[in-house]
Amino acid sequence: MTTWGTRLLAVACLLLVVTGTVLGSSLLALTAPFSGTAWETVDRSGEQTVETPYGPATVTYDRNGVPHIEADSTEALYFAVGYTQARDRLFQMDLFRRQMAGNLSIVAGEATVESDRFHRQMDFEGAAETQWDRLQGTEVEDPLRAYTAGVNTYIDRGTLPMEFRLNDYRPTEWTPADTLLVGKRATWGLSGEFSDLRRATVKNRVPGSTELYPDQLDHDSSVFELAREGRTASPATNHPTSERGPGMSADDYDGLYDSLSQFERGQGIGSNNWIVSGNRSATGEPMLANDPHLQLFAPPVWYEMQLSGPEASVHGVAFPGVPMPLIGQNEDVAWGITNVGADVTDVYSYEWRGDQYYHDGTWQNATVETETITVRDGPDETVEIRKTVHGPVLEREGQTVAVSWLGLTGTREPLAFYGFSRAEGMGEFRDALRNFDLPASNIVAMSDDGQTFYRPSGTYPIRRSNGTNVRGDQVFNGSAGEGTWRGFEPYGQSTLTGEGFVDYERVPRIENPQAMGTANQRVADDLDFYLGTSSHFADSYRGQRVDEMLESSLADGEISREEMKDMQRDTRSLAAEQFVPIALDATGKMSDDARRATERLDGWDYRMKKGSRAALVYDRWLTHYRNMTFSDEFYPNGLDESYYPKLWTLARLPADSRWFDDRSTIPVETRADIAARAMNATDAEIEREGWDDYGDVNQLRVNHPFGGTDAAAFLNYPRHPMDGGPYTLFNFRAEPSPQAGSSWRMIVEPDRGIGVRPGGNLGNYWSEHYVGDDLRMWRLGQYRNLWTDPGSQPDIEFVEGSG
Amino acid sequence: MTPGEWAGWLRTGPRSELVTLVAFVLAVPLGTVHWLGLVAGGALVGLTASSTRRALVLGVYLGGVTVLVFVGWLWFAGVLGKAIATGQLFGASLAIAFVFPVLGAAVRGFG
Repeated sequence: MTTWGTRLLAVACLLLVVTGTVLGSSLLALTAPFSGTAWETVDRSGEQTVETPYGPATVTYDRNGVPHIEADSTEALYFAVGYTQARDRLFQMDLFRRQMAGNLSIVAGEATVESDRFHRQMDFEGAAETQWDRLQGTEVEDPLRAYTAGVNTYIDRGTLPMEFRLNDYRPTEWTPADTLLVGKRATWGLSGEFSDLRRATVKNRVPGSTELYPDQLDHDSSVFELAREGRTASPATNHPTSERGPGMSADDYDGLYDSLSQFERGQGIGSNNWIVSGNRSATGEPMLANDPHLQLFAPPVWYEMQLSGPEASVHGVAFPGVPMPLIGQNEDVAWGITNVGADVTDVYSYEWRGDQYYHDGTWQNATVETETITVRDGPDETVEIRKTVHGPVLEREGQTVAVSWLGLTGTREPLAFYGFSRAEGMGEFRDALRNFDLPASNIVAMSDDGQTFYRPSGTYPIRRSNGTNVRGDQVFNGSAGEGTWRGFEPYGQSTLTGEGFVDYERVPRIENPQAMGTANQRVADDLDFYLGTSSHFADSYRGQRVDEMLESSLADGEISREEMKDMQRDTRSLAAEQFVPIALDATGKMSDDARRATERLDGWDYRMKKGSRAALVYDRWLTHYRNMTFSDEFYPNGLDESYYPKLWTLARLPADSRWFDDRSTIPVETRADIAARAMNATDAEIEREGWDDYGDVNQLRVNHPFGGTDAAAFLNYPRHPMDGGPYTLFNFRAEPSPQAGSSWRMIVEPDRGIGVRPGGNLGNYWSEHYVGDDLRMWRLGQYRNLWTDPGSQPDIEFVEGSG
Repeated sequence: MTPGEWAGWLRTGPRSELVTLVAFVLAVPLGTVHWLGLVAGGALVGLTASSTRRALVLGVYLGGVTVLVFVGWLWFAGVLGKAIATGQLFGASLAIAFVFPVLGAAVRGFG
């Protein structure tokens, strides 16, 4: 029976539906059961066949979520790689290119405006296009075009990842320059830095601080110093490094540096690698280990894949958006990479007159463009992009410099990586290495015929001031023509083999080293060209530990596979070994509770294990000790801990160094006073926070870029207490955010290899390989085989068609 | 028969339960295609009811079944745990699955 009441109810319900449709259509489209876009990728069966104009290929995922991609032609192979990477990591690929192009704010809002401003002003996009210009006509052009077509086919026909739905946007078409832009993200992240501004600022603000930033740390653990045997090929050593130029700036760049420091090479970015020749390995064959320490994300920064094409089969890892493995192994060679940390970024100041700057004896016009940054849910911003002959201009807080960075010109490293993948022996590998411009990397390699090799590879600029070579650790006076890299053309093609850069043959190398490793420490004590200063290289603790463990294994005979694993799993901190005696010497000045806490350190094995109370005490004490030593000189001058010197420098300060004196007190403090105060604070802090062991502070928090909001927190990986620290081979940095650590571990021998990632290989949340078993294995220092048989039933088949 | 007589014939007597069952069988898959299908399914089931009150009850039944089918689908796909972990997302989906058929069933109030 129909009444006015029932009609009213029906109308009300209808209104609710209509209102929901109008006001909540996005939410409904996202969350509707079954049909909501959030659930689109729950079931991915049915995407079996893809048409391609490049020829047939197959993709078969193994039990670890690693795609095995096979094709009879190179172009067909890379088309399939593009499609597969987009299927598995499209959101991340798009995020990387957006970040580097300065296009985040259009989807992320005003929080990313400053990031966009910086990246637009640096014009990384223009640099990527310049690089693409250089690569056209080379052997990577066709593979890169095929890869791009594969990505775009997926964008056109595939199911978009959930992240696009959550944030309601779509990816635009992929281009070859986008791939190179992703490469710029990696190369800038490893070599882009403003230490020249930092150094100038500290020098200006903190009197006498020059002693804290020596040209070289006083250790004898450089890469070449520790390398065993082998034939060192260095045509000129024991020459003094270049002179500092005449125009060492005393200006204060604090405001500028504060704004830019968030965009420079991150803390904790480093790596380990080592190599053992067949003469020294238990198997009689060479072995190679590598674990790059990069930021830890969900999904991981690396995408693992195995490619089998007409020319080679290769297994390795690439950044999502990059077609070929950057670290890996093929049937004939394997290679591993750590960052040299070379100084390939310089800054220049000028006299300015409006948009004109004085250079080369005349007033020159800077090129000026204005762009609009579209901001989601906010007013648009404009950004002025200025460039000089040296590069892009950055201006903050009234301080202005131009930046020369090697990656702003047409560099050739994609050719090198493509060559590595296909190399049929050490000779071809070394030929490919000649194209390796950036980022300067300690490259170790081995070949199946038993050869081993090491070279700090990269292109190193030579700075000239007043006709002489000068070092790059300064802000150059661009108006006076200081610090010029001859032949360098930002956003153009430079002669990288010309007089403006160190000749390839002048860079030392080691042929057939017996056993050696690198861990971002100083490359060599004496080079006949400028590579960088202590600010550019890591403390030597990891490098020393690699050497110590190699030495220990060799003393027992040969190095076994298990010992290679033990090295990557090693949690012994040589930094702790250096600092703990300082704490133990100060017990007489501590409170009773602090003294009892310090007793934990007496007899400790210096292993940074999650269940260790001693590791907790040491970790917190070191933080307080460092702060209490430097904060009174740095913070009152507006400088935070990012300006503090290296840990090695702190450890080597004499007991009565003036840096230990607390300027806020009348008595003159010594090292023991500060060590005792730091332990008192440590004890109080541990008591207050209720911490039991190192695992309470050393927590793994690997987050998704969207994971900061409650609604998308499920995309973050689960938290776990972790072993390891910033100075251990088993590398993990709990601070700052995002965390950093071993982003890929690999140990290879001829025709076999093991490895593990800090997370799943696939970016699809619904996949069992989103977190995967790898995260657990990675935490526990376990491995799986790299070369597996995925079975004969492909998950995706590419067939001839229009594409 | 007039439309009113036709509706009355369907909604009463021994055939009415069969008609409701058929409407249910059609309504559930309808809801998997689009969220408006949940409303349409609810309306379809509701229109077979002998009264508005009965229609709302059937809407609740349909909503419950839709929730169960949705949860079962996720379980079968092996992602139920992950779906629950999404929190707000999963909660919103369950709410939509349950409420929209009821709203659709209220159309019975027009007659």
